[in-house]
Amino acid sequence: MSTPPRTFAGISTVTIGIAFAVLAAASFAGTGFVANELADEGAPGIIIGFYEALFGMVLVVAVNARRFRAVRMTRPALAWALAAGGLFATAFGSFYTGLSRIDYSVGAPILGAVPLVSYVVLLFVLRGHEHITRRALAGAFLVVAGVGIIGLTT
Amino acid sequence: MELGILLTMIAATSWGAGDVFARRAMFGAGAETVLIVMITMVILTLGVVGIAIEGAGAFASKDGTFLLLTAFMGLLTWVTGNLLYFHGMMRAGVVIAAPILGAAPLIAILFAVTLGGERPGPLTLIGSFAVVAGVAVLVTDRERVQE
Repeated sequence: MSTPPRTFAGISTVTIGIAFAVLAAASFAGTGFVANELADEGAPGIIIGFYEALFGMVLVVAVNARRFRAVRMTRPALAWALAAGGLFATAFGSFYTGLSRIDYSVGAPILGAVPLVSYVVLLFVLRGHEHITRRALAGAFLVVAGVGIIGLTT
Repeated sequence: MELGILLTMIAATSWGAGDVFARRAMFGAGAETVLIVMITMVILTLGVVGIAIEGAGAFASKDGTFLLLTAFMGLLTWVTGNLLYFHGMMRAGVVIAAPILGAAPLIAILFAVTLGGERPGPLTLIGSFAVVAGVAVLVTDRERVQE
């Protein structure tokens, strides 16, 4: 028998998670524009990413100051987080450096392929924890195809 | 291939893998803790690589506008961006959250239409419809059960 989905104030936590992802997408769309402006003015992408992360660290710590009093992290989690941080550093450095050579309207649709990469990596890293349903695969395909078409027009 | 496009493809690959690694890390720590470790790693990596490639001088003599804009980017990327996304991944899983994040270009177009007064062409509208349909398929997936 399946367990009922968890809810918060009558709203499924999955729905809340989707809302968070939408807000995050809007934030990333905005930050891309600003990064593009800075890169076009000649600022090195790595330096942009460095300062962005530096200010981000200050803001994240400020927002979550209370929660850090009882921090717990397992060693495997630390290893995965460090690896993720290394990959994000590569991503930010590469993307912001790339923006000095191409327009944001060209680069942004390429990032639409991120979900497909996630799905491939997920098959190895999150096997047994998350599964890709046919609907999820179809939905991801539509999103990537749509972003690709938008990319063609720009 | 244009170097800018190659670098963006590297970025897409790194982000795609990094998201899953971050989700895996959240099995043993909270989203905020994972995020702090990751930002620390990003600062250290970009700091060392930046000094090696651009020289230490590239970090200095930044004007107020640059610092203000990067601070705004820090807010968007790490607080309302990654922090919310990580909480989204914890609740909805990578399978659902990642494609929604991949729809960010559609939101950029919405900004351009509503704030910039731009008029999208037919292909852009078709692409936008596909993105909206894809997200609709994702959010109505009844099998999206998480642990």
